[in-house]
Amino acid sequence: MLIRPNLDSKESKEKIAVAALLFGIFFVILTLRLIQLQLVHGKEYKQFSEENRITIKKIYALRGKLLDRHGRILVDNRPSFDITITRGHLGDRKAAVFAFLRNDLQLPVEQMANIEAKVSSAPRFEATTILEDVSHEIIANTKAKKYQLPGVDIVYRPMRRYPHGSLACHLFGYLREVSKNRLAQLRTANADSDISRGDYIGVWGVEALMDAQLRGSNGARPVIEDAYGRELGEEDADFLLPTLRKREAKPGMDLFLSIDLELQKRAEEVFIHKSGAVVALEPESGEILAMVSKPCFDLTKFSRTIPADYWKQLRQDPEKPLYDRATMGIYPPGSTFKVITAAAGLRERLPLDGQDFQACRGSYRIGREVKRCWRPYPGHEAVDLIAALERSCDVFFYQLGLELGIDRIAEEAKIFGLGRRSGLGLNHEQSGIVPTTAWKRKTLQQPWVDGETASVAIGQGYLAVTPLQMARVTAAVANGGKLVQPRVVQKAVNPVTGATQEFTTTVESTLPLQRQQLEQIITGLDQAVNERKGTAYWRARSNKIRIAGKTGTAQVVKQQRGEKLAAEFEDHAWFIAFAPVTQPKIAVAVLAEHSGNGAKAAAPIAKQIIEAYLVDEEEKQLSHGT
Amino acid sequence: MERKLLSNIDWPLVIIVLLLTLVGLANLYSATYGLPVAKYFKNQMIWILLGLIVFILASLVNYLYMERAAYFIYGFTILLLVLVLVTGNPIGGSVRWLHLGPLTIQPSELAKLAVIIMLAKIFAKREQQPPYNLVQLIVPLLVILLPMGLINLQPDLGTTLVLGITGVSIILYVGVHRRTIIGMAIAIAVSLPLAWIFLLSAYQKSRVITFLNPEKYRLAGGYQVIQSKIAVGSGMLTGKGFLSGTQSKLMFLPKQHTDFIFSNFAEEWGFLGSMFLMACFFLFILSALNIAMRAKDRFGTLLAFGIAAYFFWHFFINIGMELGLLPVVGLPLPFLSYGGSVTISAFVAFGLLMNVGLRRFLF
Repeated sequence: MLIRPNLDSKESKEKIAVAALLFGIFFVILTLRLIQLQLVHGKEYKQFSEENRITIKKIYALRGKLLDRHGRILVDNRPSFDITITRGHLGDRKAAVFAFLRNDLQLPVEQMANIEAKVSSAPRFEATTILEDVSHEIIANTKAKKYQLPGVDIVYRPMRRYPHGSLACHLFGYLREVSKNRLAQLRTANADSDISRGDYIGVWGVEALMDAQLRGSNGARPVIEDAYGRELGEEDADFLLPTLRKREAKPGMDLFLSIDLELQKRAEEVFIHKSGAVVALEPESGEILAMVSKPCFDLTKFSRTIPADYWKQLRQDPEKPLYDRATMGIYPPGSTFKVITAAAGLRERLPLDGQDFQACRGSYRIGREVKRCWRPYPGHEAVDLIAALERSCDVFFYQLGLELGIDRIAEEAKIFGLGRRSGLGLNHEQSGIVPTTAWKRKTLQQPWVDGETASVAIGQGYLAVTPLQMARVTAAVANGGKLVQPRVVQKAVNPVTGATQEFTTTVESTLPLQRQQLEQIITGLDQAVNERKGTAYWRARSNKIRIAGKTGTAQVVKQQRGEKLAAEFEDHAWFIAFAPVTQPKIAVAVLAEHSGNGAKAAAPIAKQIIEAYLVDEEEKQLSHGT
Repeated sequence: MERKLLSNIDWPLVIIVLLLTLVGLANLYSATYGLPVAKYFKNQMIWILLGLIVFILASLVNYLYMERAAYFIYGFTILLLVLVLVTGNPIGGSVRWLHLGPLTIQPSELAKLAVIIMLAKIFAKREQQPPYNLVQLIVPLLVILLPMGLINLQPDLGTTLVLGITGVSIILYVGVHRRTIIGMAIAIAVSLPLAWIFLLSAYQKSRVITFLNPEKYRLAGGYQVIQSKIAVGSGMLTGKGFLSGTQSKLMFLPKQHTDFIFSNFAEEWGFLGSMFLMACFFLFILSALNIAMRAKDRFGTLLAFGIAAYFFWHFFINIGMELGLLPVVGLPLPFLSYGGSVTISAFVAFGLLMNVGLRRFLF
């Protein structure tokens, strides 16, 4: 074994001595500190530790308000008071505290049991909310006895106020107390996050989408209390200061939504069907002007802990009111999809004057299968593309679809933003389905057949889209071919500093359509509303404003079980529209579930919304001007 | 030979460690009083027993083998540190533990010792004589920085700091040119803002900010320190007595049995008790330095010195933090804090120290 003797032992002795000296100095520093804490200030610390305790009280931040595009209040806050219990401060008075709850506040037995369970499972020195938004009587009652009830506190806490009830419930969304898992997630994502147990976070709608901006940050107030919970002034503990200082709460950002309150109200009012959705956009900016999903729920019941029975009722309702149909509902687009089939045909420069196609006799034969046109024999006769859009001739589009082939149709649908999320980010937005040969092989392990191509060409079959996606398609046609990303927030404003964060329009892509090709589609949609033979002539034509639109009637494909009600098999009614035809200012998609014919059930709704927005607006401006 | 080895046992050092361990157990019993004491106490007993086993191994296997295996030990540790980042589940927002079947190990604890062994080997082998200049220190600095970087990713600020400062202590001990020291000091001063921007995570920043400016910034961090200071201060001269500390038990020290164990002791045993503990720590360090001085070879000297530095910085940073002198970085107090990793690695380090001491007079 090779041994290297410690040659430099003399030098090493000196070095060790220096090290010992340096280490010693550090030990002296610690000792001096101990002298300072234990001997010089020991008495103060001891007295303090015997008589007082320091607790940290949360100061709740004011959540940002939701305002409409004109600054009208959509959702704001109101004050409320909670009663909390801090387990670690109950001491030997626990029985007295619970007796107070039972006898003085007259809480029912089950609630008492809940409270007891909640308190005993809470961290020892964390205040647990036991009663929310309590009445003045309870506050007065508790205040009077507070000094016999250590650990019990009355806490000021702003809560959400919904002055418009159930209006735009899916769009505004709601809050919930943060769950344990979510809390852990948030803390892992951002260790600086000051969110803590008992805080509310947005879980639906804009409240969830913009939670980070809306939430603000809670403050904290160190309180020095005696054993009875009486707060002491800072002078009693100035030897601890200045380490303990209050941290003010920072309010969240106010959000100006692109919603028009009046239009939203009007849209909900004219949507007379039980279930369905409406999305109205500003075509140029993609800003959502109104967004409806029916049925809805009562937001006022969501301002604090949602009453268990109401929640249960909503969850069990077969109409699924908790489900946002505007972004999550997927339906076959029906004839509204013909816009996209037409675009593909135009881009392929197919002859679309109808000369090359079989004239419509009410049905069309593909192999052994006979596909019907919605208009029975004698059908539409021979039509060109514009007339086919105007009258929604299925036979024309069957043939166009077969010429194009499914994969070409799918390509066009994707260009129009179908088959993927729009980027709005609201709720659990669905991407829908744009079927291709590859898709069918992969999902159903089956080859594609021609009859299915014909179905897709008229918006049936495996196609599935959301109302939001169709509104986006409509906006793209209206604004000259820009596929904009829909958005709902115009700006976020800091209520203290006034600092503003503006949200701008994102144009995802430009449709490869030429102006003159787009013109043909627009003419088709214009005539569908304004020509006597148009499918929406009787229902959507307005004498105040020139509207262009396309009806759609989506067959409800085979249900899984036969036991469902007949109403469940009714068609879904679609209508997409924009106006004015020249320089459009609004694009609308209306979907009414199980309401039958698109012209009858959906078109009048779109018409009324458009009139409300354009005509009423104009009239208002006129009256303002005079 | 066995006899000769045993006759070299440094009994005062053994007695000090025995005292610290017993005091630690009693104090842990008190600190967890009111919690499920039995669980903590039992776990700690198991770890101490495991610690004793590894202590015997670490002190009996001739440390020269360790010198030979230095590259392997170091490489293996780096591998574990990478593994923990890749596979570890976050616990409380960070990944520090590696699960090997029933065993859960914290490779960052191992890394401290691996770096000491590696540096001792590098410097013991060197032909060039100190003092060294920067170019000659590049390899040793990389040996320190690599595990520091990996541990900082977990993130674990306390361990990263102790590892770095222990490594630097060894380098300074070996000898560095004055010009190089000044240059490095400037380099560190310049790189601190960069480290602040690129290396520290949000939680680490908030802790440093809390320390530097407790008035202005978040209360929660400063709050822990205040509770600790009240606990220590209220102990006064003689303390409140065993099991009678109220502050550290009732108050809000979430880590009263791990990182904030000293404040529990200082509250119950007062200034006199604290001084006794400080004396034990200081004597421990002096004994370690003594072993370093009398080691039979350069590797032994450097190994023992590195371990002395390792213990010293743990003691100083932990207690300094509990007394509000240093930022709260999350570092246990060896022999007193509750926890498997800290207990076992303290005994391994102690074993290596004994190992060097036992073989001092062979030649």
